[in-house]
Amino acid sequence: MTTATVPVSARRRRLALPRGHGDLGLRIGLLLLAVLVLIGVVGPLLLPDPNATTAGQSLLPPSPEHLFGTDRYGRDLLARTVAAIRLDLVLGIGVAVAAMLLGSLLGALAGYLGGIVDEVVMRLTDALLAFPGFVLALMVVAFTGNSLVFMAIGVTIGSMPHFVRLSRARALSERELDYIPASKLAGSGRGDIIFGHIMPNTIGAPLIQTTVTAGWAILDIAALSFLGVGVQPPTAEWGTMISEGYSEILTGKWWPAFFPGLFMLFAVLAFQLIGDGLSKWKNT
Amino acid sequence: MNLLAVNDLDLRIARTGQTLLRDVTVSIERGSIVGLVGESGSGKSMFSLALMGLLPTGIEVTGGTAEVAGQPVFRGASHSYDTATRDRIALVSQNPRAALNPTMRIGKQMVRVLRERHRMGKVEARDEARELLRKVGISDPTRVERAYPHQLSGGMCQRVVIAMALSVKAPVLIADEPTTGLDVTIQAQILLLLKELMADGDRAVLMVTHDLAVVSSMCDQVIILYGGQVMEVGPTRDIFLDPVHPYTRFLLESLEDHVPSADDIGDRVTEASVDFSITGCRFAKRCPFSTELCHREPPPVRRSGARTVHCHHRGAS
Amino acid sequence: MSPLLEVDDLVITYANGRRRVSAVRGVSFAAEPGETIALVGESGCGKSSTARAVAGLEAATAGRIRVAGHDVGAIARDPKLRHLVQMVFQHADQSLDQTWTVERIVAEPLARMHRTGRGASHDRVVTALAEVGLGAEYLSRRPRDLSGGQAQRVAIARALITRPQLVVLDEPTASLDQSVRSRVLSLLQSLQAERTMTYVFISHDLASVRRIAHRVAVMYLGRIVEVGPTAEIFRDPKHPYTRGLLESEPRVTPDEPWEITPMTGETPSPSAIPAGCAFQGRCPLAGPECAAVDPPLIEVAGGRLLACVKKD
Repeated sequence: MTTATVPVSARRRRLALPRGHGDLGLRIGLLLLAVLVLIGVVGPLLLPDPNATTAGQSLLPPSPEHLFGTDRYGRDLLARTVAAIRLDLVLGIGVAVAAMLLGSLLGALAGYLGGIVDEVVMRLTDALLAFPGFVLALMVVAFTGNSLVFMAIGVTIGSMPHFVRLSRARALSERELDYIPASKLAGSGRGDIIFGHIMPNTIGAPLIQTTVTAGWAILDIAALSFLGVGVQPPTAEWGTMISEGYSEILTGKWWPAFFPGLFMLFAVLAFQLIGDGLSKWKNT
Repeated sequence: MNLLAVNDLDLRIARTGQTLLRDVTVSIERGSIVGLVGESGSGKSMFSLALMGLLPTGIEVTGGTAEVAGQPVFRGASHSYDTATRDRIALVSQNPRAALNPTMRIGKQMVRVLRERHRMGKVEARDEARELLRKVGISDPTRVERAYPHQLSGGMCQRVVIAMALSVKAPVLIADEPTTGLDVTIQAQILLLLKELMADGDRAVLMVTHDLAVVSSMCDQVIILYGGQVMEVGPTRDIFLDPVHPYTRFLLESLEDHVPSADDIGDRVTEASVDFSITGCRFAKRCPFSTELCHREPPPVRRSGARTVHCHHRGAS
Repeated sequence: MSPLLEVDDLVITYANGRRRVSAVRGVSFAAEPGETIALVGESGCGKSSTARAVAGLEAATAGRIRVAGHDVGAIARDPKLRHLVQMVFQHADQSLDQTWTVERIVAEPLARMHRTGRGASHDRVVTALAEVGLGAEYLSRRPRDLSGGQAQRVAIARALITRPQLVVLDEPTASLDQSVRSRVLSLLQSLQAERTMTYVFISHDLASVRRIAHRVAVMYLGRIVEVGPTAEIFRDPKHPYTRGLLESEPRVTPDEPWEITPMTGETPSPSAIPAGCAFQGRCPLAGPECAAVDPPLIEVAGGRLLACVKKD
């Protein structure tokens, strides 16, 4: 089709950072995430042991020795909050990436192969979507036993449907394009086409979605560990910390629950901003 | 009298400042069909969109003037579009089905347009719509009236679009690739229809196309556009029999009907995409005759009778 | 010498919900090695479906297609035979994977069919690109960086890298600019001469057909209505549809005004084909006998086949 299009040089901007609204959010998000990662990596080396209980030091308010105060067991809250960064970020990102890979593959298969494969995958996805991810994870853990691994699997399964849909939608339109029959003419089998052509062309939106999903995963994981599912005390994790600390608010000791909550906010916010900024950039 | 008079129109991408159209001058007299010829990337579609006030966001008119039936199209230093112009220009575009509302029956769409434009009563509008459908060669208007766009063929849809364009009763009609995508036999029908509708001599038609054969058969005058810049203008017959601008010669030589001759320059024209950053002639990069001057300075307009050639070196003979 | 391509009574029917669309209703033709046969017609005539079936991309509902003695279904399934028939598509940008580099695209047939590794195929890719007029700097580019003409050349390089004997070209120049079209056609012709390939050239653009095809088969609503040597078909079209088609084509005639004499009416939908001759609704010569029988394609002169009750 001969269309008058924007000149070649404007197309090359694909690799440059965007200008415009999405840009600011994206930069803030990236900065925030970078700061968190930095703190999470460097912090534990400089800070005291997060699990070291000190008798007689419990529930001290924030002070120069304990910037975030101490919790009920006398553990330094700054050390614990920072230690939790690694666990929560790794879990959150890990779950999101796993859900993205599995979900996108399923979606691509469903979209490309159609027929019974599509039917089965779509009905399963619909079923999964009927439950909030959190509840799904609870169900998985109820079946398999309470451990961090099973909890992570549960949250992963709960996060997959979104990816399945994104990549299936794209696969449906990609398979109508001529490079697919061209690949068959080149001697490709179904596997060659799915992994060589369909997956790379359908992974775009899921990749961007991964960031936002990581944020939600962190929330789910924290909520589950708040209930004692998955991550158990005394492990430092934002959810368990809030679980240990929230009752202290009644006696006016706000800091044990506040700081983990704040960092969780930063983490989820960072992922949201990045995801939002990326999708705005992709759509310009 | 010139029903459409565009002078030195400049069109830019706001964000980068890149010029899509530069110093484009087009004038069409009453009763005349002028062809605007260009390949992909020439900016010809942007030209129609600019005149209709339908430019995508981020692309702006930054210079020049345009008048339809004596009324200005762009106002003020910011060249903002005067929406009253839409009463004076009708547009028939490529892909007719995209121009029609898919959720509404044809009759209803046409009646709506007529009632809004001309404040007609319902019955009057319906009769007028039927008459217009007959005028565009639809022998069974009642069947088409009740149909939805997806139930009609491409050729039929285009007739409906032309009927709607006629209903505006505008002095200027822009036909932007009206037959691209249609079968060749249907294309012939549509072109004949357009020619017949022009017979009453009241309108000016701008036919935007890449198809030189269509231009040869339909247009009195031709404007050759490349890279957003006018290359050559003249009566159709003269342009085809005696092209002067190297790009025009190159285009004509690439026609299948062309009989190769020793004067051919086609082989010496390099294949390259348009470089919109050149300050000089947009064709300089590919032209076998280009010099440093051509890359640097925009070409002058050399006039000779009804012909103009925008070139530093090949004057109009 | 037996024909390279033999199409016998090809029938392709699609089920669209409850309706059945008869895209191809009994098409037979053959092509010799080194020959270009063009299938021309308008939308709904079945030329694209025929092309895809010849390439082995679509299964026929009935009939047989053979290339170099092998059934096309076998060619599609066997990596050792797949190289015999290749195809070039209309929209070059859609026929190249946007996420792949040009080198990988052109090497794909080697990788899949011959299991050639990347290093070994590099030189062959460079050669293939050079044969279509593209230099080695294109290897690392991606389809979005290519112009229409360049993209189509890459597609041609890919199609030809395994030395096919038959190439199906489905409107290969329809989406290209006028000035580029001519060069791509010249390229196709010179490559054909060098390697004795057979082309099945699908097109609605009569000018390109006139230039590149040795023989032309005109299709209407799933049937071939006329076949013959190109020059003769254009000089003396016998079928009323062929005549109408040629007359509808706008020609560049600056000296004489082109009298547009279009055919009346439109092609009926392939899901509602009239009984008897499919063209009767629009035919200036139609008579009562045309509704009675669907005229068969028979030889009326040397090499000329015609499907019309009124053979004049």
